[in-house]
Amino acid sequence: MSFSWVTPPTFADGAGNGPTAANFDAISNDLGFINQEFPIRAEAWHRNDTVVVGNALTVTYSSVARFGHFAEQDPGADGDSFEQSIILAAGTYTMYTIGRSDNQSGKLDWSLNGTIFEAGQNWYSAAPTANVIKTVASVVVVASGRHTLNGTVNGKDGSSGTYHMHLTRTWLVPAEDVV
Amino acid sequence: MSTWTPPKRLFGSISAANLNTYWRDNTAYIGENLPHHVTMFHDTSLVTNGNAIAANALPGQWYYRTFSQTASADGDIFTQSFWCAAGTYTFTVLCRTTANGGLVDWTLDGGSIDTGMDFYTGGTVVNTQLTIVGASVAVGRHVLTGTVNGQNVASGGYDIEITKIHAVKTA
Repeated sequence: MSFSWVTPPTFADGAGNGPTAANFDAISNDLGFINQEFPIRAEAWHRNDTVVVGNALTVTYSSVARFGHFAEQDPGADGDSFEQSIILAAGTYTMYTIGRSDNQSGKLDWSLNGTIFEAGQNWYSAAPTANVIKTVASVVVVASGRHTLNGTVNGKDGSSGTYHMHLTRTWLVPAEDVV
Repeated sequence: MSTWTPPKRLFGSISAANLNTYWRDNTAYIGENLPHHVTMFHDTSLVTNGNAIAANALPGQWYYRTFSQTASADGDIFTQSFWCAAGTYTFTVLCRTTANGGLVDWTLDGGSIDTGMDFYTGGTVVNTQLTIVGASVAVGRHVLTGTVNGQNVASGGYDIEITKIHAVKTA
């Protein structure tokens, strides 16, 4: 069912002029429209994340990094955790995260509203590599509204020295932009 | 502008005044308070015709990057989605113009809002801001589509190098 926005009606008192079914239907239509029209894209800059566990985020400026910077909890530790609030319509999305991989990076578990949907995302690489984009396909958002996207460091590659995370941005997109 | 009043149970007090306060005005409030500013980075655009979007490292460009369908071609199409309050908006396209720039037609939900936005300049110019002024936008979610449609007669190609598109409500 598709809804369109109408100016909410004014309810009236008086003999034979009380609230009508049409009034209620118009309000219901608008509420349906609001729920239907939630955004289908979200973006979270790591520098704006709220730290849940671990050291504060610091920003490093870099002309090599896309958008000129990355952020990290410094020093990083196993169990570091950060989160950000996003608004999305119910649906299925692809999530991308851009950052720098290196031989001191850990692994990330990603959760949405407390449910892990991606475990062990490995940011280790033998050599530092800027602008690595990690992809998580088929991220399911069950209900439209505000959601908490959380990243938690959970271990590291056997070859990695520490648990650092040098991230710039995470974004979610649908398979298709639709009205 | 409507105001928000915390809803309450109306049992026993379903008056017109209460319905207007708790249903009409609260519903209007939600519709009116969608965002007035929208930022869309071009690396998140979805390509619906043509080659994939690649990042171009440009130290002189804001955010150090432009993004473009590479190789470009006439007829390239990309889309973005955004969510906003109703109003009149100015769209600003932060880009790099070059001697190989193309022309872009813009539509919003399928209706034209601008034609022939010209990404050509004789020399390369970073941080160019091309604008669409006075676009009427309804409340809710929308699809913004850019379609490459020809080129300046002096241009050698169809390149569209964009960093981001920003929309702001002006009225």
